[in-house]
Amino acid sequence: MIKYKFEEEKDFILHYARELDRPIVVKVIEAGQAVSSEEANALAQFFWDMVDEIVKDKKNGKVVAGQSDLEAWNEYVFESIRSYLRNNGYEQEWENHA
Amino acid sequence: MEQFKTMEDLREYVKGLGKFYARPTISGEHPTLYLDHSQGHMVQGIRVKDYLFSPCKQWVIPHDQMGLSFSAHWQHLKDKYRMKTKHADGKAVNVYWVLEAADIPAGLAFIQDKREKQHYLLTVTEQMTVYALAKKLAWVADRMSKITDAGKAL
Repeated sequence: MIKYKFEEEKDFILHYARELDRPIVVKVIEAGQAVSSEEANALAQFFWDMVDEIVKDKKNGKVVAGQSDLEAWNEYVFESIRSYLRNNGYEQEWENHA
Repeated sequence: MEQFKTMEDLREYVKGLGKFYARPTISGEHPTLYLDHSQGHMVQGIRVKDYLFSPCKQWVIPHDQMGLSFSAHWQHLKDKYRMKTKHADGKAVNVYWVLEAADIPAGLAFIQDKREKQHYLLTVTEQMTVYALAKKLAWVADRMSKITDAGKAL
């Protein structure tokens, strides 16, 4: 299961998964795990696309899922997603996009 | 001054360090304190969510999984560096590091993130005031070595 440091990370990720229209990622986050290499690849690819969106939102001073310090939340979700993929059999899927 | 122009240069440099703790830092920012006030709720340059604070926000309470984030492996540093670069808005991203064997102030300890062995947290091991923690983090920063992103700095 994906281990978050803060519960709010989940809503933060789901916001971007919906914004970027990634139903596979929504499913993975809601389930708390990836059940295939395809899902893990989708999550890894999504992470870096999400960073680009966070950077844009930060510049525009947006509040996302109740959070205004977007760079800090980006760092928290980085650790959660990266550690989940690398330590649950999806190291290669993470590296494919890193 | 140590410099790197490519990620390969940085990888080679890091390989020669032995065991280290590193933080990629956007040029102009402080390596251990957040002084630009855009990182959410902060007290004395410390992000409130990075440490366990007392309700009055005057004290920091020991917690072995709360602390300032550090990379302890090249792969983690590479990924964190990439993310930091995206936030840097074209500025150079330098890397500050300290060796595992280096002295750090009493009351602080590097502890491995239970979720990821390549990631460490500079935790507090005894209750202290926020002021004391900020002083100790500044002390650590003063003793960190720096390798400069010459690709953008030049």
